[in-house]
Amino acid sequence: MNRKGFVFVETIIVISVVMTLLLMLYSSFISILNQERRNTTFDDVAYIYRTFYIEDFLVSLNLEKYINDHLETPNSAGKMPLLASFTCHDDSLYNLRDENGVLDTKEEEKRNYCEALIDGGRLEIENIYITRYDVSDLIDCMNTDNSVVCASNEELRNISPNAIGYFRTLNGKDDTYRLIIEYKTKIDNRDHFLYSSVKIARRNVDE
Amino acid sequence: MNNKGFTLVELMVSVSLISIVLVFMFSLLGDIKRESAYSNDNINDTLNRSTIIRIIQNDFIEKRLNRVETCREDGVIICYSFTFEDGLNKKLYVREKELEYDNEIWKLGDGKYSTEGEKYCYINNGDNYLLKIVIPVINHKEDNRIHDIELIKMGMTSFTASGSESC
Repeated sequence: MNRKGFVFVETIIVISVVMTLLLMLYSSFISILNQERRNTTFDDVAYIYRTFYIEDFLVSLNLEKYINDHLETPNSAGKMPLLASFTCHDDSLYNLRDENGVLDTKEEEKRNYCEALIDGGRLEIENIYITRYDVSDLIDCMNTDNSVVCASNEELRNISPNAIGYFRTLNGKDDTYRLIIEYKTKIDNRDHFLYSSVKIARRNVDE
Repeated sequence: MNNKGFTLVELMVSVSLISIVLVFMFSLLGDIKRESAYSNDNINDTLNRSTIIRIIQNDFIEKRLNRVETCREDGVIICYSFTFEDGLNKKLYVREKELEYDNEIWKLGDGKYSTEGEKYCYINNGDNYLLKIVIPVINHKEDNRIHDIELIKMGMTSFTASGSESC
């Protein structure tokens, strides 16, 4: 009868295999848990309405020209931009300048309102992004670890991993554009980033 | 033939290695269980919250909000009166454990409504308006979820609101 049992090396091998399996199980569960926690910050109903109103306001500006300049014109590397970061300071958003280049009062009011809302922190906006509605090209530029791979798309450099995580949940095909807003709010005195997006509606000139 | 088997040290090393991993595994399973319990407890509240926000926001958009005023009622901790373009008036009453809008009541399952952290913000910049009302829910579970009721109205449609233009 063989009464040798395990030797130390055999035991170590068995333990290593068990530990590797347990670690693999742990890492897969922890990523599911983190994903689940993060998904609670995506497309909350209150933030969808907030985004809807912001979209409604942005469409009242000269957004078509803005999109043309920032999404339909090749970047310095000769690539079509996949994403534009919105800012109220872009003069092309406002119309109606007189012969001296001074903004019409109503347009000036719009600009002040835009700055108060978006830059002033009243709506807790951290970033506003405009992309094509179909974000598959954008997602192709991102790794599963939420890092950016398209070096020639310099506009993607400053996007946070959380935002990339949100982009990856978006789908749908359409030839319109999408407004994605990153909000920064405090929950239990800790900063949280929340995301919401809506389709940019085309507004008729008569409206 | 080698009949030695394990020494005590060898056994302790192997048991402690497995224990370390098991401790992590059990804490992770605890987190998953807690997360699942939060989700189950909050389903009804989340559904109510979504419904309340949707109903009020749809009124703001479809009936066109004309005037907002704060009001006072016995037993009500937060009260808002919304008047719409057709003259219709609807009141929002918030009590500690329930919210009433347009004579419909929604009970809060977990936590309670509070005036602490309530936000009422109204600005009027020429033809551009912003109204933001946040009704906080105090919930002691650290689940990172949003429980507050937030109502917002902005744009160029004219409406008036009582109170200061503070945000």
